[in-house]
Amino acid sequence: MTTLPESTQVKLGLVIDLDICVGCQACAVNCKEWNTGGYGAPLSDQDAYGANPTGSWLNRIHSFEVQPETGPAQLVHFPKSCLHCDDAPCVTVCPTGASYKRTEDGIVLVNEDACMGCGLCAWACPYGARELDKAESVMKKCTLCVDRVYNENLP
Amino acid sequence: MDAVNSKTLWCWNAIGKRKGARALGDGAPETTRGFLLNHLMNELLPPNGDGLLWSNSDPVTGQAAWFDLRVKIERAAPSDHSEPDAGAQDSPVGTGPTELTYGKDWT
Repeated sequence: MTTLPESTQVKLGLVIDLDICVGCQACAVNCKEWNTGGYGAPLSDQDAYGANPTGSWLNRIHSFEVQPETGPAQLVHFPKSCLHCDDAPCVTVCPTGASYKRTEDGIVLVNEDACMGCGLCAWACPYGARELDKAESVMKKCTLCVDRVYNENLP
Repeated sequence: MDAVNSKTLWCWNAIGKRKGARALGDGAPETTRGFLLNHLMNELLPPNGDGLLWSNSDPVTGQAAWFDLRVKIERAAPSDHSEPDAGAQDSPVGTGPTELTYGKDWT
C-alpha cells in the first residue's frame, strides 16, 4: 500500500470554534463552489432537480441535539472536513499511491489520475471525510485549499 | 424539538418552490417540504452581560424580520404537503439535468 512520510516540516490544519458555529452551512456551500472547478473532477450532483438529490461535498456539517439531565437543550454543530491526520489511514490503505501526504506541510491529497475509485480510503477514514464522486468515480476530499493558502495574490 | 423553546414559533425558512418552477422535477423536496415563512421574534438578543445590544439577525444575510408586519396566527391541521399549494406550473425549459458537473467546462 502507500507509505506516509516519516515526518513533515509543518502540520497545517483548519481550526473551527464549535462554540460559535451556528450550522448555517455557508462554509460547505462556499467550499463546494470553489472546489467544483479549477482542478480535477467536479463535485457532481445526482438527481439535483428530482426527488432524491445527492452529491459530492468536501465538508459537511453534522448537527446534533443535546438534552442534558438538567438545563436547556442545545444544538451542536460539527463542521466535518479532513483533519489531515499525522497517521493518515486513508493514505496507507491506498493500493495505487493516489492518496498521499505532503512532506512539506502535511496536507493529504488525492492524485486523481492514479485513483481507481476503489473507495478503500473512504472506508479507512474514521471521520467519513472522503466521498467518491459518482460522475467520475474518483475520490474527492478536502485539499485544505492548497490552491489558496499558497496564493500570494490573495489577501 | 427539545432545543426549541415551546413558546417559540419556529419555521423552515427558505427554499419552498411552486411545483414545476425552476425546472424542478416531480417530487423535488423544494416543492413538497417547507415554504417561505417569516420569523416572529424579537429584533434584539437577550442581554448577555457585555453591555452591548446584539441584533437577533441571520448570521449570513443579516436579515432579521419584518417588524412592521401584522400577522394572524392559526394552528394548521396536519398535512402531507406544504402550503400554499397552487398546483404545478408549466416549465418553459423542461426539467433540469439528472446530473450536474459544474466546473467541468473550465477545468
